[in-house]
Amino acid sequence: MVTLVTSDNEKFTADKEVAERSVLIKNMLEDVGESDQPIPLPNVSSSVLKKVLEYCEHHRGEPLPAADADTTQDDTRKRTTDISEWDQKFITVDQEMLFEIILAANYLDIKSLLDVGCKTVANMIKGKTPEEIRKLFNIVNDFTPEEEAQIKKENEWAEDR
Amino acid sequence: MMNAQDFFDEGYNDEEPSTSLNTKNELLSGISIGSEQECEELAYQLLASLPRARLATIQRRLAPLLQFDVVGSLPAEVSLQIFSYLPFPTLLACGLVCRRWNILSNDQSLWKSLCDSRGWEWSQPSKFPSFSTPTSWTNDSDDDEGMGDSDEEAEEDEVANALTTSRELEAAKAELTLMHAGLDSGFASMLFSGEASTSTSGSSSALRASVFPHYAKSGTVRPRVAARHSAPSLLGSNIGGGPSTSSLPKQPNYRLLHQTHIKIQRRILTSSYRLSALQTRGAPTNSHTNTIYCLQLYTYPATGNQVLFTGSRDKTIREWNLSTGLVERVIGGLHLSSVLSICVGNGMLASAGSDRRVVVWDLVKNKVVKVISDHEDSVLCVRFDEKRLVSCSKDRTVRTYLFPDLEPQFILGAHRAAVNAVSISDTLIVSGSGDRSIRLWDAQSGDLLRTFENHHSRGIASIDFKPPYVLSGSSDKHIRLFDITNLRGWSTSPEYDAGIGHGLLHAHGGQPGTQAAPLPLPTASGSGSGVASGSGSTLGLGSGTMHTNIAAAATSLGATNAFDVGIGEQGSGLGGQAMVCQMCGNSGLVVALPVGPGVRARAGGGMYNYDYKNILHRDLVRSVAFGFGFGEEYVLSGSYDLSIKIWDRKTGALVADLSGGHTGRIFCIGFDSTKIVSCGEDQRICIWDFAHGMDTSFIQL
Repeated sequence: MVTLVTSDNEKFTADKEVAERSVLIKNMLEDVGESDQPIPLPNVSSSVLKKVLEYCEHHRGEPLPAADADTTQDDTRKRTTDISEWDQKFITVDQEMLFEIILAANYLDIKSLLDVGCKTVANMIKGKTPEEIRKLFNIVNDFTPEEEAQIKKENEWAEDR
Repeated sequence: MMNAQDFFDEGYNDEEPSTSLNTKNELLSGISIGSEQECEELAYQLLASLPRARLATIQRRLAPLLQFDVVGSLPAEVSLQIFSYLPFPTLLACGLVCRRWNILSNDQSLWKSLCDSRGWEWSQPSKFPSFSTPTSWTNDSDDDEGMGDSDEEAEEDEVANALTTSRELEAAKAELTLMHAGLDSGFASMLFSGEASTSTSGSSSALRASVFPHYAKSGTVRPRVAARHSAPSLLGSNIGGGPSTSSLPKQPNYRLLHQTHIKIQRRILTSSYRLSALQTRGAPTNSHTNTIYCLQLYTYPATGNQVLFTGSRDKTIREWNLSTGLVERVIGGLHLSSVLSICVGNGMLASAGSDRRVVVWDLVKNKVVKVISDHEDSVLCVRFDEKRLVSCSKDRTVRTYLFPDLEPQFILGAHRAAVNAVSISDTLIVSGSGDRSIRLWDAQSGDLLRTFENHHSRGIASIDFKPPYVLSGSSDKHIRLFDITNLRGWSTSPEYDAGIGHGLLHAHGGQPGTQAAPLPLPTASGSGSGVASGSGSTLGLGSGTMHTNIAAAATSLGATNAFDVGIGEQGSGLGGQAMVCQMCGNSGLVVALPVGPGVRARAGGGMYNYDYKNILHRDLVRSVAFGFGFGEEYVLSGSYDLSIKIWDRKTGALVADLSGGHTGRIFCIGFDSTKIVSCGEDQRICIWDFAHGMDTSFIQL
């Protein structure tokens, strides 16, 4: 078992196999060697770590992606935004939690979770107009009218499709 | 300015008893010294004391506060990963959201990966003079020569019948070929080996450099171009600054590359091309003096100059400078009669002629490498790659030769009529014959791996091969594309599209339910899913036990060679069953669904409207090609009916129909990512330019 300590000082215990789905934790454990020392995760809050561990638990035993799998071979598959049913349910959370999960996955280096998070955001954006996207994320249009007109003009080639 | 909600809130404060107000003030003052957690708890307590209606109002007010720029707040490399899942139109929309998103969406890594997924490579523009338009032509009179073939068709039909009814007659049919003697050449599958660009000056086009230096992450591909605009300002001059004309050296601009390719594709879809002729009869002066049978575009790796080679009935091969539209070189004396087929690559040119010869010529040293005169009749098609040269002949054989010495390797005999076309891909050879069959050979062992029959009702005139797909054009006026592992694909022929050999399948008996349940269902997975994947991965798609066996055998031997092994297994070990399974595969063939409105109506039941009939080739399809470079999505065909057609590779729907360029039969077509070239009976070489008026100096041809 591995003990993890969150930013808000909560302690979590998890099977080594589960915790090691995080490459960061895996590396830390390797560095430390066999030890009961708790691992501090100052960038992850307890509510987020709970979710993350839920994800790792569900996916335990699945093969981890190779260290540098993110190359050409992955490229063709990269375009698909398919998310498995369980993952989809798992990631159906509010924007803040989604954001925190992505950040945590990035920090903890859990590639598959990062992918799920990013794909989820991509799916939220897909097919939307700029105005719809602004509304979705509460973004202020900070272009000057001239700038906006210029970009629109540059995008003209892609129209009518 | 004040909406109802605000108003109510105001009212709420006013009505509030003073004690409550004091409590609130105390709470507020507490916030400044308390921890966030304490504040949260206090706020909750306070909220909990409110009536539900108030809470609902507050929730509505709070909702927008919970929405925020998830994408822009993440580390850049994560934002970019999110964007990497977006199709390009959405990416363009993202660029209009706000400045931050604009910068993110313009990142070169995103556009590079979009380009990579389509096989579009950046080619550094060279400093050669710009492409000038070849001489425009005038319609010259049509005086066909030597192509009288009125009785050819009759003869061929007779042959076809004979072949089906009696095999004993084979010997008597030595002379049978679907082609007229004078035009028994074939199709040139364009081998593109060029690395370089067209010759064009680096003209001024807006260069949107990526500005994204903030987060360095090892795993992310960082576009080199970022260094160019290393301005710390996130925006730099990118937005609203107008197109910045940058002079050489030009950095790869994948956004521009992508945009240019998309523009060209639009033009293909709308048949918007500029037609010009490199040669018309008698012009320019040292042009071909007779029918042009074959052509191939070629880019010299050293200089990046693109040229066109053509072979003619006038016994010569000519090399055209595409910039000037003039003949650069005449290679004569290699053949004693018509040059029927050429193949160019690796600085070499192989030509095949009706003089039964294959000649290999060194383009750099300008001398003959080898003359091969093994065939006993006209050599109809020649192809080579790094390892071997393959030729096929009217003598019904396919011959292979090994580089570097071009020693004879195999004589592949099985076809019962002239072998009109051949295509190679690594260790596999595909041949198409007047006997209506397509055969798959193992180039390393010389074994006949498989015979594909019943795909055309008449002789095969043209072949292209990109494993696992074979594309064939036939004297039956149709085109067929199928996956050799499972026979899925499409045909322009209703007869062969809806499923071949149902009767035979019945005889198989093993799967009685198969025929009872035809496949009008939109099971698009068959032809669709396999298209993008490599040969190995498509093995599993086959239906029936046979195919399962292949897949199993293949997987056990590793992914790289899986394909060859699988086919070999079937061909050698289980030959008898192969035929049956071929039929199974046919029965599982996916009927292409209607694609564009009006372009093609194809229902599962075999109903075709008149539009559909009108778009088909009306004569022999003499040249077919997979559109690599030109567009992975397309296949091309050139026909005796004077037209060139572009088809959707997945569905077989007609994409574009090009006519008006030729006044005689089209014998050969070629292409690169911006244009199609064609030649034929009328001695014309036509260029169908889809990139006219565009800067294509950075496009790899």
